[in-house]
Amino acid sequence: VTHYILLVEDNQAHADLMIRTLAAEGYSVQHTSHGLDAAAMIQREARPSLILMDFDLPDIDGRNMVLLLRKQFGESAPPIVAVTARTSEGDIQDGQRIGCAAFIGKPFYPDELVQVVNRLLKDTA
Amino acid sequence: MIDDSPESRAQSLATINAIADTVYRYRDPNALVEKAVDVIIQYIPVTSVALLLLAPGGESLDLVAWRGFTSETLQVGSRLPIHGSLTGLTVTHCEIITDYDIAHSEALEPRVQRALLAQGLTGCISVPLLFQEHAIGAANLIFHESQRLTRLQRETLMAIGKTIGLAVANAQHVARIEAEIQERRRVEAELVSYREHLEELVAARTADLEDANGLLREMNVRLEAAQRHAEEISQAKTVFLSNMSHEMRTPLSVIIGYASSMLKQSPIYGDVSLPDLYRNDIALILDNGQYILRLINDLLDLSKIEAGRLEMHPVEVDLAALLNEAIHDSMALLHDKPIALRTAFPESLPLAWADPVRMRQIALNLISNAIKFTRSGTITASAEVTENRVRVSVADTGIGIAESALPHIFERFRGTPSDRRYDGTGLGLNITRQLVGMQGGELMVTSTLGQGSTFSFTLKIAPNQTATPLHQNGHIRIFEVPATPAPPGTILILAPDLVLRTAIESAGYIVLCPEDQIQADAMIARFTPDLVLVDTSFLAQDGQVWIKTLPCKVGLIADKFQAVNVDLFFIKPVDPNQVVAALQQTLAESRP
Repeated sequence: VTHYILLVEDNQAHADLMIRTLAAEGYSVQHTSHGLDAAAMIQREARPSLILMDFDLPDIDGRNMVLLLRKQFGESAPPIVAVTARTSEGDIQDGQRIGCAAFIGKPFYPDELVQVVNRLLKDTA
Repeated sequence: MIDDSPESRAQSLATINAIADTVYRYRDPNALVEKAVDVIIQYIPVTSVALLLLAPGGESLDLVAWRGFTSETLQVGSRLPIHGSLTGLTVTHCEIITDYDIAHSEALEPRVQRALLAQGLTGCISVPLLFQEHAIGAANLIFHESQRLTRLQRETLMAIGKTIGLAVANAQHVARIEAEIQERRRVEAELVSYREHLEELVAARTADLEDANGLLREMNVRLEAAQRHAEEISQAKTVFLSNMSHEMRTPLSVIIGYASSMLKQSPIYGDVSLPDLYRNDIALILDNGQYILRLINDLLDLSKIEAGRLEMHPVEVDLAALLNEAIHDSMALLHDKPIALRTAFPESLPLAWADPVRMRQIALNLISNAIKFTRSGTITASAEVTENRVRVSVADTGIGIAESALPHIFERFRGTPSDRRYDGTGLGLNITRQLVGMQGGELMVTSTLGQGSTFSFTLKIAPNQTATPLHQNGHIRIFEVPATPAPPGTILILAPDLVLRTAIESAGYIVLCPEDQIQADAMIARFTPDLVLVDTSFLAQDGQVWIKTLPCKVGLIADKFQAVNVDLFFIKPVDPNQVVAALQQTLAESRP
């Protein structure tokens, strides 16, 4: 089964790195840089297995996106991983409070991203 | 003069009465003696008369008044010695001395004698002025020839002497009392003026003090303002650094990410391995990327510490687990150095009271520092109980620190040699020491040049010995705890009121803040909010029509009442708490 991952990240170079890293691990990745587009994609496409969400998006606060997506999916929400440059202990706790499954602070090694994604998708499988 | 006949007796009494009447009328001694000599001349047939009074001390006599002779050498206040003078005898014996021959007396002051003889005055009767059995002076009655006195005449003169003596003594007494009263009044007035002056002085000093106080207060205000300003600048610096830091993290993630992927021959490059020619350079990119990251983190920490915004959250910490993890995570820093990383703990190490995140940072800083300055040997991270505290130490067998350098190693940019070979930010030890201080410890160092260094500090033993699970690696977390339930509702706000937004967000709602009506439409379509809250000033011309098309509840914020069909209507200025309460009520109604 190919897991489909939705990546919401507005830095193109960083998004490319993540897409290529995950693709090399056999994941299928859909990418958008806007929160509104992400919501549209979820309505349009298949339900993603996992969502990687940047907190600094041009249109909607990433934290609100997490809440909105969880509301939209209800009980069956896929795990949402915060991928953010805001890395203070308070930011990490914010991530947990709004219901993120994991938190990845930038900068990180591609290996670390792969480890987190693998672990979360193995848990849900 | 006066004989002893009945007429003479009557005349004598009349004379005494007349003199008494006159002298008792005067209180001022000077006026009294003048009047006394006048009245004597008037009632007694003498050529001249002189009145002398004992001077204070009783050693001499002062001429105070006279009539009937002139002298260039005598004047009021002329002083005669009591001894060897005619009047002296009178005063000493308290007796009338009569029949005195002025021309042949040795007991007469030569000046007086010459003056009297020059005017042909040769006879003298000296009458003592008595007061309480003592003579206070004498009245000398002077004639052109010697006189003999009858008994009546003698008694009359004694009575006159007593009368004048009593009057003078009284007048002197009154004068003394008056003088005393005057003096007391003067002293009192002086005291009053003194007191007033003192009050003025006190008032002046108080005013001075108040001025000084005012100045101090003003300086305090200025100081406080300056301090506030400094704090604001410090806060602004922290905010700026924090923003800068997170702006740099995404590009750094790209740099570090690609560089590490290339070096690890990640599957993203397929089977193509990195040519050796590039390998070293890519490693440099990775190293320097990591260096910039450390620098950013250190600067951010330092700025937070300075602004007092670094909060400690102490819990029970298992130091053995924490140090084991830190040693494990530091393995990667060894590269090929022949160093053994070890930990050492007693069998039952109590839990320490510390902030685990910062404690981990302290351990990693000290271990990485030790690795930097050690070529080979051993680095040991240990913990032990000492004096009711837990001592944490990191010891190395490195190059050591010269004694002269020891006092400076905790200073910023002084801790490490300028040689970039050691790869430090120059802030690590300074931050580590401050972090240790914020946990209630003090970072100490002992070192022998060429043999190694030991950094150590102590922590409190946790009051409760139940361990709090350690967080995972700093920037990566997987949350084990199930997520909180999804928030109650979504509110889309089309209003410039930031306070209102924050209030609604704080109430637990998801808040969407589109920039305009067009973006609002997109958000409404995607996220189907439960309510749209609109400030009429944000609406385009077709605003009223637009409101009617909204697929959810609508709240309107306007300057004045409008006849529109909406669920909530608020007139500006709005109270955020009231708005939140109204929202909660309206959204609760819509629940099935």
